[in-house]
Amino acid sequence: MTSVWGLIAAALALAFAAAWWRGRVRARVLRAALEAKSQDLEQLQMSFARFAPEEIVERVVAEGVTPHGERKEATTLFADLVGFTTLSESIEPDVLVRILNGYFERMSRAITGHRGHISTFIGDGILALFGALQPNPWQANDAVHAALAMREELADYNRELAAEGLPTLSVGIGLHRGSGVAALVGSRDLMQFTFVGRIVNLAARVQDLTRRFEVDILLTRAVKDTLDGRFELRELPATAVRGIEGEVEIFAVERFRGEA
Amino acid sequence: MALENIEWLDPLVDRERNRELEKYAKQVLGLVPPHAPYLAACPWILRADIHFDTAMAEIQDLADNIYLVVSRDNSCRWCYGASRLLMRLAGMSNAQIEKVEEDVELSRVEPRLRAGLEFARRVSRSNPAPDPASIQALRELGFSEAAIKELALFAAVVVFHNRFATLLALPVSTAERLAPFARLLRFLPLGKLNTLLRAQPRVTAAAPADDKGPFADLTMALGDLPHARVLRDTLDAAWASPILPARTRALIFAVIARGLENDSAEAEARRLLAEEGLESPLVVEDILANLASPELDARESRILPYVRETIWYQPAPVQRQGRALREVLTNAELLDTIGTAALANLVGRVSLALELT
Repeated sequence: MTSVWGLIAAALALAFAAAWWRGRVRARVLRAALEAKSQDLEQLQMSFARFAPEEIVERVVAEGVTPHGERKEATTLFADLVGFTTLSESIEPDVLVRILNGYFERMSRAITGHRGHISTFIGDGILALFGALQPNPWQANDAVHAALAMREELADYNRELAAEGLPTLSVGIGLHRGSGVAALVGSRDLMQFTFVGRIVNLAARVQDLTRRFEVDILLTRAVKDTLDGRFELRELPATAVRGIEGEVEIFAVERFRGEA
Repeated sequence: MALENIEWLDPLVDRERNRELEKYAKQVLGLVPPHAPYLAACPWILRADIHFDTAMAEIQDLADNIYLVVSRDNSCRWCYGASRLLMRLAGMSNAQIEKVEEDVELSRVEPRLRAGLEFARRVSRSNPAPDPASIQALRELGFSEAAIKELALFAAVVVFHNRFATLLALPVSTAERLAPFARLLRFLPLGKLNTLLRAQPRVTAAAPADDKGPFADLTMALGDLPHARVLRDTLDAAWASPILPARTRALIFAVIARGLENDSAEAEARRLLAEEGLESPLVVEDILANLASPELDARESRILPYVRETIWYQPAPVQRQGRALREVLTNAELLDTIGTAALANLVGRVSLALELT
C-alpha cells in the first residue's frame, strides 16, 4: 500500500516538475518574442522620429493620435517638376515611375543632407521643411543650400537620363520663411506631420513664378533677410500672387560664393 | 532595448599615454579607466568625466535611472553600456535592469521617478526646453528648489558624458562585452570603483562667492550642489587649456547657445568674446548667423559649422563629420573642440532650465 502511495507521489511530483519545466520554457519563449517585438517597436519609433519630433512620436505611442499643434518658425521649400504632366502622358508608366523615383531619391538626399525634412510628396511636387522638427536659427541658409544642392543633383541626374535616351527634367523651387502650425494632421487612417499656414501656400505660389521668370530657384524677402550674404541673389519685380494680399518681393538664387 | 544595432564608428582620436593623468585617475578611482588613453591629449575632459559622477545631494535615488534613460535617449552606446555595466556590478541582474527600463518606458514607475525622468529628458532634448509648467509639476511632487536644480544639472551632466563619448566614438565594445560577466567582475579588485558604485554625496566646497570665471552667474545659481563646484572647476580648466584659444572656445559656446535659443548663455559667450577682442556686435552677429566670416581663422571656419551639429544628432553621421574635421585638426585640437562642445551643451541646457527656477 505504502509503495502505491509512493508511486502516486512520485508520479505527481514528476507531473508537477514537467509542468513547471514546460511553463518555464514557454515563459522564456514568450519573453524572447516580447523582447523581439519591443525591439521592433523601438526601431519603428526611431524611424518615425525622422519624420516627426520625438515628443510627438512619444505622445502618439503613449496616447494615440491626439489633436496637438505647435506654432513654430520654419522655412518651407516647395519644388515642382516643370512640364511633367505632359511628359507623363507620353512615356510608358514603368519608365515614368523609374524616372520619378530616381528624381525623388536625389532630391531627398539634397534636402536631408542640409537638415531639411520632407513633409510630403504631392504628385511630382515636394514640400520640405527646415526648422520644423528642431529649432534651427540657420534654417534659411540650410534651405537655400538644399535648393542649390537640388539644382546640382538634377543636373547630374539629367546627364544620366540623357545618356539613356530618356527625357530630361527641370524643376522650379520656391522658398519662404515664416510662422505656421506644426501638427499631425489627416484622417484616422492616414496621418502625417506637416506644417499648416500661409507660409506653405506662399512657397508654392512663389514656385509657380519660376516659370514666368524662367529661373529655377526663387525666394521671398523673409528668406533673404536672414540669409548669408555670400549667396548671390538677383532681385526680380515684386509680383502679385493668388491668395496673397499685396505684391511679393522675390529674388532669384544665382550661386553661393564660398564653401557650403 | 539595447543599443547594439545603432551604427557606431571607430574612435576618432589616437590613444596616447599621459602618466600624470593616469596617476590622477588612479588616485581618485583606484584604476585607470579604459578610455583614458583616448582623452590623454586634453586632460581636462577626463578630469571632468571622473568628477561628474553619480554622487547627488538631493536626488540620489533618481541618479542611476536618469543616467541610463538620458544616455539611451541620446543613443549613446558608450554611456548606456557603461551604465548597464555599473548597474550589473552593483548587483542587479540583466532581467532586473530590463524590468527597470520596461517600467520606465511604460511609465510604470512611482510619480517622483516618472516626473524626474520626464524633466531630465526635457532638459537633455531641449526641444522644447523645460517650461514653467514642468517646474511646477516637480514642485507639486515635493521636489525642493535645490532638488530641481540638481535634477537639471545632472541631466545636463549626462548630456556632457553622452556628447564627448559619442562625438569621439569611444569604443563601446568593452562595456557591452563585459556586462554579461559583471557578476564575476564584482570579485575583482577594482580599486575604489565599488565604493563609487555606492556613490555617497561628497562634501564639496561651494563655488567661490566672488566667482568671476566664465558663466559665473550659472555656477553661483547652482549654489553648493556637489556638481556645481565640479562645473566651476571644469569651466576654469577648459578655459585654461592651452590647446584652443579662449576666443575659439567662446565662439563654440556662442554657437551652441544660439542653436539652443538660449539668450543668456549667448550673452555670456558674447561677453567672453569681447574680452578676447571680438567686440563688434555686428561682426559677432554675422559669425553666429552664418557660422562663417572673414574674421574667423581657418581653424575656426571649420570648427563652427561642426559644433552646431553637436546640438542634435544621430551618432554615425556626426562621427563622420568629426572624422572629416580630424583631417584639419590635431588629435589634441579635435579633443578640445569636442570637449568644449560637450561642455557648452551642458551649460546651454542647464541654464535654460535654471532660468525658470
